[in-house]
Amino acid sequence: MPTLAGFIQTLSTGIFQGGVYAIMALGLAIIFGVMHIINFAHGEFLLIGAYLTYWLFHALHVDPFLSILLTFGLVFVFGQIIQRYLLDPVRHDHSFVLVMTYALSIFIVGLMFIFFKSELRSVVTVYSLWSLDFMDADVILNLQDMAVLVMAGIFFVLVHLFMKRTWIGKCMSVCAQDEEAAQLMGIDTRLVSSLAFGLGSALTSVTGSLMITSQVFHPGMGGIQTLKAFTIVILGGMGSLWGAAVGGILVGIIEAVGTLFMPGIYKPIIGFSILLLVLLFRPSGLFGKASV
Amino acid sequence: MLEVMHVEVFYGKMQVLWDLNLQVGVGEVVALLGANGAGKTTTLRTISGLQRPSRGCIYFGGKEITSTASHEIVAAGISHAPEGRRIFPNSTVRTNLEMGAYTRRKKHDLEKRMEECFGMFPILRGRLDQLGGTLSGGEQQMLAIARGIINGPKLLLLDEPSLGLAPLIVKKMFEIVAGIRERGITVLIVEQNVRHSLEIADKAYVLQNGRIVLSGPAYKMLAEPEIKKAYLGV
Repeated sequence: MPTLAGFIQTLSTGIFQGGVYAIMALGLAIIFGVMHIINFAHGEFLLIGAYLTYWLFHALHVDPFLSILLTFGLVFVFGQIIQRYLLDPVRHDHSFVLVMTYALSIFIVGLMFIFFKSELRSVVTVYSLWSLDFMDADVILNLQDMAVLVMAGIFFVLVHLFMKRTWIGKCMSVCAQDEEAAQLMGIDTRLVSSLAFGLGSALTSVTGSLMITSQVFHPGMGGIQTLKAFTIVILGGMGSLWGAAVGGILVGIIEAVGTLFMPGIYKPIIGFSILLLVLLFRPSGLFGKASV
Repeated sequence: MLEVMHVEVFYGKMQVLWDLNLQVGVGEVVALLGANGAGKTTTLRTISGLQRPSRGCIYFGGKEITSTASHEIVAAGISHAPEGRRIFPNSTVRTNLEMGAYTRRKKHDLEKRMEECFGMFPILRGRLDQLGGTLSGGEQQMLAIARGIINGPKLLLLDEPSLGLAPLIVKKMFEIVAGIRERGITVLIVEQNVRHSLEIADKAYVLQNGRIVLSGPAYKMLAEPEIKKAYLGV
């Protein structure tokens, strides 16, 4: 039986992990909410963020927390290009879009293997191991993990304000509710779709940037992240921003608690068990229907 | 102002509009009447660019808009309050109205425009922070119309504004439509409520199975019982 300190330690690990999951799921929730498409390349956008941060750190000594801004900007543009030239031309048929994102996923993974090989990569900074001790050093909280959680929180608040306060955010919100009615308001819904895809991809890549500071990456790891993002979004309720945040934290905690009882290698099983259970018993998720 | 010429529309292989011609003049209220499935909604959707005609063309204010994108048609001055109201249920009444004024967002006169809307629909003022989905049917219809006129259109397309409303509200709705014309907005209204529509309209077209079978001044149609019986079922 784990001790209290052990439990607190596990819980905090779960929350730290869940915070980054939440931002990745937020990205997917925006893309799914506005465009109603399944994006199989979601995890690959996370990899792009992770490797951009890795490369900027090792080649140019850019601090990972600083490179987030650059990653966000680059992938925001890249995502829009992908949407406009690969997804928009086939948008009349959702199964084409599905196959297109799958092809994109394979393509990006292939490129990654060429440029980065299959080695495991991570970013270790001078402050990576700084930590605070509690309860006679039985609970150790890593400062960088805390900073990552704070960043995740900041991103969530910013996205929330963006959706509620800005014209373009409100356009995304109403497009998610009724695309045709949005067109009748004079909104260029194709432009909104491409901005939404750019924003969703950029948020996901930020997750990658944040994750690579605490875990190792190789180019084949995108697929599992895609499925994890879907698990969270389905758990939270398709298209709900709050659902993505709460779902992300929940999945982080459940995974962390799960590893108390089984080896870490079985972690994916926990995620997919959640996915199956939610789909069977509460397909609308915790927060009901779409409300980006 | 609006000219629809020889328009034919298909849903897949099924033809729903056949050689459709209609004209709407500046300041008029024109009613488009007919039974369910006659093609009334399709006609409005084709004018606002949601549906593309496979033949024919549409002119608005002398410019061709047959293949113009929906959002540009709105910007050109055609608002469309669609069938089933289609308000944004998870957004507040305020956001719904703001989105209605989207094409004028750079003019910074949103508050003034909202006040004008409250002049016509006082009930919306108290509902501003309520979610659209929580409004009653009549209130939702008022919001849908307010959303259509808040950006100051030249032409308003109204699809069945009286559908599913209590008789007293229906009467009010037609008064509102008459009020919209007084503000200098031309109206093309699709309705099943023939009598009320003909009372406020200058001109009417009757659609049957995707074809216009009758057109003329509204007062004449009201006066001729045989026409009413044959085409309008009243």
